[in-house]
Amino acid sequence: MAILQPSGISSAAPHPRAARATLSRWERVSGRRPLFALPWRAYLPLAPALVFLIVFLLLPLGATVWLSLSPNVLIKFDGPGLANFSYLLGKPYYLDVLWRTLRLAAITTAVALLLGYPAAWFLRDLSARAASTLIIALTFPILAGPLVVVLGWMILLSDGGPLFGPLVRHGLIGPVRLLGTEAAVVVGQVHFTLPFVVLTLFAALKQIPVDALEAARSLGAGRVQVLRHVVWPLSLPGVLSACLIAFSLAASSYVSPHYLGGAATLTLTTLIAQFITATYNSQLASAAAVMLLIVMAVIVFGFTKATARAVRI
Amino acid sequence: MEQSRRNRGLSRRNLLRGAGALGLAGALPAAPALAQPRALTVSVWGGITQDAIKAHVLPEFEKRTGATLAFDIGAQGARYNKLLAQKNSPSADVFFAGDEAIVAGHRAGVLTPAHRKSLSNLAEVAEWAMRVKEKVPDDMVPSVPFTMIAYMLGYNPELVKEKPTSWADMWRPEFRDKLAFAAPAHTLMPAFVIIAAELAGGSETNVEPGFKKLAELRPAKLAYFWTDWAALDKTGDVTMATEFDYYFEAMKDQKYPIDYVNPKEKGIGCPESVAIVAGTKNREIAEVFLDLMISAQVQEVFATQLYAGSINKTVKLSPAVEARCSCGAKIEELRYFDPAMFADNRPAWTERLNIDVIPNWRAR
Amino acid sequence: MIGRLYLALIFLFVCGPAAMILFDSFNSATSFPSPFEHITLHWYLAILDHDEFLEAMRISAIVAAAAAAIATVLSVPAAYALTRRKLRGGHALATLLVGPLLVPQIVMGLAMLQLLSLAHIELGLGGLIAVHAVYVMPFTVRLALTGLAHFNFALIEAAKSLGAGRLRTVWHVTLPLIRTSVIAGFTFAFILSFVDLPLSLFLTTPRTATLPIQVFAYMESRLDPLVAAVGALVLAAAIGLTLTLERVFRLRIAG
Repeated sequence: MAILQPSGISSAAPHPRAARATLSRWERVSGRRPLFALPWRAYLPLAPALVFLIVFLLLPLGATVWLSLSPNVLIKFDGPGLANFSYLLGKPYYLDVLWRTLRLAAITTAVALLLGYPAAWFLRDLSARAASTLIIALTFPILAGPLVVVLGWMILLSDGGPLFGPLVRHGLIGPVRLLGTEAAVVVGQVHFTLPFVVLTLFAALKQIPVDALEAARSLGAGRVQVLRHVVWPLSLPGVLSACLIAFSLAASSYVSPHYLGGAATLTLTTLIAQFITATYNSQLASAAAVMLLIVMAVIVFGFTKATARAVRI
Repeated sequence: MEQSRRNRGLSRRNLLRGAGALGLAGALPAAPALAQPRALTVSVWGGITQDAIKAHVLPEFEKRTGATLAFDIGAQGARYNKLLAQKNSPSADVFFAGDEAIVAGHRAGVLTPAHRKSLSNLAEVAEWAMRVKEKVPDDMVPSVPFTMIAYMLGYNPELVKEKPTSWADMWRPEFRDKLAFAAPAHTLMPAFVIIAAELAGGSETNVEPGFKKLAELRPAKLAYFWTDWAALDKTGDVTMATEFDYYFEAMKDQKYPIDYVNPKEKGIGCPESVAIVAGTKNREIAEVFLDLMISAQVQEVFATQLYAGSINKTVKLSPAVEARCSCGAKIEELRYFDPAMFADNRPAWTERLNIDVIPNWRAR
Repeated sequence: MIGRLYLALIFLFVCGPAAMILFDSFNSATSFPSPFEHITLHWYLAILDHDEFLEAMRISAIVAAAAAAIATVLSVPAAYALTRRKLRGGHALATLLVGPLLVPQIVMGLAMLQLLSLAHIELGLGGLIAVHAVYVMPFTVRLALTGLAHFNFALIEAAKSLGAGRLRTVWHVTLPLIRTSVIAGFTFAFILSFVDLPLSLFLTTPRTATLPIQVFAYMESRLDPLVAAVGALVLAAAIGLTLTLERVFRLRIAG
């Protein structure tokens, strides 16, 4: 996979002072990066974001983790312990729910990516004004409210609705029974995440300089080859972002599984909501949330690392 | 040229950001700085209940106390969690909920009783409505009921030829995948565990057969609110549903193809109450509010407009209104459960439903 | 040709339900969704009777704008630091920055409620904005990272060698080149915050209810085209605002 450097921008020879500023004394002398050199200044711009997250994410999460280790109305035990977790992990039902959540999120991500990549690519060819208009047309509809939109899908996907109803009534197809299945949930989730996937991919594809493509073409590459060897590798950071975004949006979606799913398609979010709002068991809810968190953290970290070669970090 | 266009955009964007930030900064302090009249914060369901309180309780309340009402709206579960989390500094003053949550709230120490003396209309409240029996001092009352609604069995009269007469009809093959049923997290789930148990030969104290019987159901939709399945009633994807009578009446008004019956095993009577939040700084006006809620005028309006049954003995309703709400003689035809028993058993029964019953509802 | 057709199909898929909602908002039928009866502006006028909806729209807009702004301002420098040099623990930091993605929103909201109660801080706009900002930050971070992935840092060196100070470099070199990503990130964050329900579930007060909470509460007991009218109104406002921004400030999402 050849990765072309963005060209067309001449880089002057770095100023000697600038060159020196990037190497520490140790580096200049030994020619190597010291093992524990902390170019702390390089971390500085990260500080505000990290502080913000520590206060508003890690602190509340700490409370959640504490709760997840606490006894509750359902599971009584002494002091902080993992009994909640062993309970949840011991029940096939909960593992099933967890697996379903991840599976549906993965399918949603794949479908959204498949549909969104070509859309972002074609958008690139349009004029700035047309692209802007279309992007607005894609991302703004959700502002009408996911609840209301999902209601619309509930009607569209129902057997008696405007989509399948006439077909069933005229005997063209048998009852579809789409509503209440995992497929319906995926449709709802794809509908929600697709605009964001397109927007992310578009932002990434837009960064690819036209010169790179022209250079490839002028070297004799066909259209497909250009896509495979130039566009795809250069768009990988965007693809990675889009995957992460779609996956997490789908895994944490509540409205789609609730309205479009049936009696047996509970996801972890609806389950956690049930723990919190029905049995007032925030301890077990926290345990389920921590479970989801750990699994997703592993997935995200693994995914980021695996595709690290293609992105800058 | 490209470069200069971008630069222009950039500095304008900066301007925009600055303007936005200033605007934001301007908007934010304005709200709290405005002098607010004293307000009683009411934790209640949104929609028609909130509207009815605003329209029919608020004017009289303002006249009597000089204070106004602020509404903290949401589903009961979310509002109750808020109470639990804000134990030391509650933001609500009065709390509307089903009786079970009222019981739970007293046990958790987030609700406090009201003085009988401050409730001038208390004598008019029907005995059968006072179902919350938490232990409180003699001169106090844990909560006051404000309505009686019934959970009934509904069906689509256009599509269902044989009118249902019993809860057992839910298991009829024609309703497989066409039933909208209470979700495990629904307030009345424990009632159905018991009803199913009794249908299968068990009882309130022997609910094991109930779980087996429930596992044989084939619901198409698990619902919390009627709006979860209402649209499907229109398309014919749902032909039978369990729901509160006042919602069925509202649906009828909105021309949904729906009708309902009181099953022969008796529909479920659900009193709903309002209580004072522990730690409130507005106790006196809270008690005035409670008093207003049980007054004859308010009760009559609620029955007429919301089809929510009146709990005030002195209220006389026209036959037309009485037919549409849980009032008068209909009270006898309902079944009542002990809210304390629900509160005790809910966690365990919800788990049983999750683990043993729902996996069987994989209809396809 | 294929491109336009494909885009049209995608457009249809994404906008279909919204178009249905828009359509139905003019429906005189008393329930939603319903076959069309006859055209009426009744539901839009009904919104005026329910001033809590207008107030909720204002609150949601403020919270979303503030949350998106905070998230963007924090994310861009962080993304810059992560892409500038290969930092030790870069992967872990990147995962931390998208950490909020991993926490279910309802749990975040509940945890924030408990935190605020413990600290005896009153619920209000502050708490709402904080939790929304945390929620949208991963999106602005990811988009900024995407924008910086192919950034040619030699430009920075060039600017420095020409004598530009750090701030000027950022202003005139870095930001314009990652414009698309930053604007996309902001838009993203705004939209996600605006439509979110579970986050705000435990954090609203009588004076600060967000629009999704208000609509959800309304839908507990009523299902009429009013909610469609509210949705259509928000959509119109957003489109109007964006078009104004584009015309007046030549600010384009697609750069």
